[in-house]
Amino acid sequence: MEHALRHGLVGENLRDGDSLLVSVEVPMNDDDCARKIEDSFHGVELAHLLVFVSPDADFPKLMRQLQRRFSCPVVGCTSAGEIGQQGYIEGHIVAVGLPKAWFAAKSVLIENLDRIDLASVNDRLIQNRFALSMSNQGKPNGFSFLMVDGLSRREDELVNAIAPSLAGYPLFGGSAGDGLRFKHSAVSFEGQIYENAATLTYVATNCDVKVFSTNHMVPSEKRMVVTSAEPHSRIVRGINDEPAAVEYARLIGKDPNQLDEMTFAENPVIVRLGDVYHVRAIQRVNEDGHLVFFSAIDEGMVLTVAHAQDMADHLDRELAEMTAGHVRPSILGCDCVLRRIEAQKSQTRHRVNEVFRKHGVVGFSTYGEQIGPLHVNHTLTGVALFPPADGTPI
Amino acid sequence: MDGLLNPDDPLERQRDKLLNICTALMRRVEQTPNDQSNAYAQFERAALLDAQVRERTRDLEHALDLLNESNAKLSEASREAEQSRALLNEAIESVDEGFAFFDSSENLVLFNSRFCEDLADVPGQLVPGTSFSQFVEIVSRSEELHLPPGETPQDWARQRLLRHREERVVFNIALTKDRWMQVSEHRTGQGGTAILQTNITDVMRAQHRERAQLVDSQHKMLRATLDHLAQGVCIFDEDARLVGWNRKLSRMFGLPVRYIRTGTRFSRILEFLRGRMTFEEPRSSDWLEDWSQSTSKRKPIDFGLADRTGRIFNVFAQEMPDRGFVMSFTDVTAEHQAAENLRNLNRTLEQRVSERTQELGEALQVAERANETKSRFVAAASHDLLQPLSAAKLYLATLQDLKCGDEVAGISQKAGSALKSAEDIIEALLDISKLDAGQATFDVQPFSLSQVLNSLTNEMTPIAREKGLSLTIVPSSAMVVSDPVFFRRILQNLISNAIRYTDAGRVLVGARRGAGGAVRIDVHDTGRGIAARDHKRIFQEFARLEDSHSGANGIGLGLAIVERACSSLGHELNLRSAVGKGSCFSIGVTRHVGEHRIAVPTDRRATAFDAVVGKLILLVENDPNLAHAMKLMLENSGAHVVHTPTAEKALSLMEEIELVPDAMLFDQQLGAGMTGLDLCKTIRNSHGLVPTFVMSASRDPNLEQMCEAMDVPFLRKPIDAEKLMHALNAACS
Repeated sequence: MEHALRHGLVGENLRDGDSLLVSVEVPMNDDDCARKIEDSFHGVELAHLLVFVSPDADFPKLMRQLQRRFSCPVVGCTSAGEIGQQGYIEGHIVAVGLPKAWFAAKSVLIENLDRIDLASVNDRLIQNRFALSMSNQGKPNGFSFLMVDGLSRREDELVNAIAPSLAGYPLFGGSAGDGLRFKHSAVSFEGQIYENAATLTYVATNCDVKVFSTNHMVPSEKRMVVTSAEPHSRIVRGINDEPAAVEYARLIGKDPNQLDEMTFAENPVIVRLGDVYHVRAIQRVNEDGHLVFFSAIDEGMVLTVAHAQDMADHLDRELAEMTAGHVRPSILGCDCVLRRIEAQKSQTRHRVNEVFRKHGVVGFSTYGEQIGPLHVNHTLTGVALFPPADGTPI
Repeated sequence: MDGLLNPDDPLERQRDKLLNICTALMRRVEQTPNDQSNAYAQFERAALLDAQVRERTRDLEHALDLLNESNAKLSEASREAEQSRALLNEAIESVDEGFAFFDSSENLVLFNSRFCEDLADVPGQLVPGTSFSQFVEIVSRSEELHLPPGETPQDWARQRLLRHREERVVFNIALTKDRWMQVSEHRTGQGGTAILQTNITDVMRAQHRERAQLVDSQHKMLRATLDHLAQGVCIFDEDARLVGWNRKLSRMFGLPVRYIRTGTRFSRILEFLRGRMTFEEPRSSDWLEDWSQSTSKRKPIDFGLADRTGRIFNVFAQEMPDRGFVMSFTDVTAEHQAAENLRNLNRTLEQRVSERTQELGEALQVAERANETKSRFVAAASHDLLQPLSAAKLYLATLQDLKCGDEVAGISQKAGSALKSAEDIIEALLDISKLDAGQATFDVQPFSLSQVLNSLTNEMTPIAREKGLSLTIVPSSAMVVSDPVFFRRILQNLISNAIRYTDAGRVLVGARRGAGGAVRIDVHDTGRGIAARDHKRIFQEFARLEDSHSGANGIGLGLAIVERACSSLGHELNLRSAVGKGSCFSIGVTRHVGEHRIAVPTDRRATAFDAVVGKLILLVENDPNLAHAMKLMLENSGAHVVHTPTAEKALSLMEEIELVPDAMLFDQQLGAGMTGLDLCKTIRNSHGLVPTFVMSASRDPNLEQMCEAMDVPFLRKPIDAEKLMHALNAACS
């Protein structure tokens, strides 16, 4: 593709010519980054532009500029770190374009997540989805990409409510982050910034589509029962009738005063539902000695302490298995911030980056990931896109 | 429960913890399931549902995979089926004929574009599934189907369906505009029906054209043939109506034109004839009408008709294969007339023949009676005459013994001579009468001609010489079968006759090979000859052509005896003669093919020169003494010798006797004529090489050389007899 040759011009990275998603990454401290992004996509007709923005950037200004510069819809969110063409990066803006050659897309804004009757959103979603698929019958495949305010604490209800209306467009997504500050996260739609909101982007394509979610946790024998909690705040106050942090620390054999992100990353807790384990990631310890979670909790739930496998090996294995028999895919991924921390702390970051490069993963670090009707933690959740078997872009 | 409780806690505390844990769990379990406000509960439900959905999805996907697999197989199968169908369609399209196939339920499965092509309004109504009977009905209603007059589409369809029931069907369908289609049906093994339609318009048209031409040309030929016939011909169909005739018919009977046209009833024509014609008995016009109206097979009839002017017709009628009949009239008036004339003439002739026969029979009786009387008279008279003659001869002999004077002796000799003549005549008459009366008895046997010829030579030579004639009898040792006595008399009569009627010249007798292995003896003379008209008459008794100068010599009985004897012995007698050219009488005698030598003369001494025996040797020598001596010597050796004094005579003799000698002896000096060598050359030129010896007393050495040059042996005179015989013997062997 012609645009791939602009690589040197912008000094930053367009993806290789053979990728279906066209991405570019620019450092967020560059005043001119909106123009640079526009230049990078010069000559590529885009159906949609997805932007993942470092929390340190001027998110509203950037999104306003970008929407002005691009004729196609631009949606984005703040991140807890970005995934560029070389893997984990920070302080960047990653822009992922969906070329019209392969894709058609339509985005919907869902506001006021804490107040809205989510069931009523479905009508709008269905109409939009229907309109998209009707006008793009040559693109029979599709997926739905959700960006949701990661501090809204409404992801579980949201995906639970909207998943049924996404037939044929399997849902995945990520919760917008704020680095590790947990203060402000936001999404952007048509140049505007929204908190307590989400954007849902339907993508129709003639590429082969695989929506996936993977984690590398193995349950242990250590279990605990939440005896006291504030579900709305996702705060677990007591575990096994002890202060939550103290009991969690006891069970993992740590000093309750030394609990940090790394501890949580290395010692996640999981719930077992049926045969499946879901990570309930701990965000932080609050001043009361309670545990604040990234996802819904409740009293009476049984948490199992899990151990992480080697993240890089596991991910490589998983992705290799998923993409077996295909050419190198393009993967848009939502990667849990705890994984970034784990990789950082366990000195495996460069190996994980290698896996990302190898499998063509771009995206951002999240406060939580959505897959189908579920809001989950500690996963890499995303979509893998494969060139259509029947040939080249139109 | 690993680590659920802190073992460091006091037991009470542990119990309280357990109670609280239990409480939390119970609360959780008892939570209202559809509590919308409880996010975790929603998550839990969603997760469980999702798990179920995933499971179902997996099952579904598995099912889908299976379905896809079957679909793939199905589509492969249907692709193959489609391909086969396409091939089949292609195949049936490539057939030149119209093709359709009905399955065992009689429903149309497929058909090609040529099917029912000539029935333009039909193919549009055909679809797969059309039943056979519908198909037939559609065809039967087609505008382009040519239905025979009076046949409705329903009739046609019924017929067509009846045909369909047959196992294998081939038939032709007539279409409008003189187009034709051949349809054949074939049953397949599974009870289906394949239909093939072939456009045979060209073939049918050609056939029709040919047939029309054939009929036309046959008709023309028939018309030409009919008109060519001398007979009047008319042809009637099975209803006895006129369908054909020729021009002769109406001319023959003056039949008015209104009768002569197609469709005229036979009875009408018969009515016309009835008043004008008479039927030959026992036939009648009613009989003919019955015949024409016969309902059974008619036999051919043949009868006569006559009109008032006397013309007669022969009528022949015959049934034809289609129960019609053909009738022909032949004018036989002329034939009748001719036959009548012939019958009359025949009657007259028969009358005349029988009259003549009767007359002849009477004449024959008279003649036979007269002949008998004559024979008896002659026999009696001859016998009665011989008695006094014998007496007269005795008296005369007595008189001669009486030593009378010369005058008397002369008279008595003449009287004796006269008596001898009378006696000869009487004997001849006796012979004749015996031969005529069939009383002669023959002693037929083989004998050698030389016996007869030698004795005749001795007897006749003096007589010829007395008359100044040359008589040559060429010797022959051929064996013949005859009565020696009568045979000798035949030859004697012929030779004496020849001498008698030859005034100058010579008489030559020779035997030669005749036709059919016979021996022919010719008697040539150089006499006056006999005119052709007299050739028969001379063999009659007492027939003499002119007054004989020799008076008593013959009274004309000789040839009569010859004729009768030859006839009785079965010898062929021929005469070649013309006035002034001499005569040649020939007698054919059967050659004896047994032992050749039974009659070899006994007075011949045996010699060493066998090769010479029976050979013919020509001797030309002008010295009579020498010639006589040589002849005697050669004949003593058994050879036959012919001698002439000159070369010229030798040549003419050879020409006459038409014989080439076996050997020749020539004297070189033969007087004024040809020399011996000249003669030798001449004979070689005409007859080829004949062993020849030349003799001479001359001492001229040239002569010997000339002989040598001609390869002719030279004999010096005086001749050494022994040497001569050796040389001849060698030449003849």
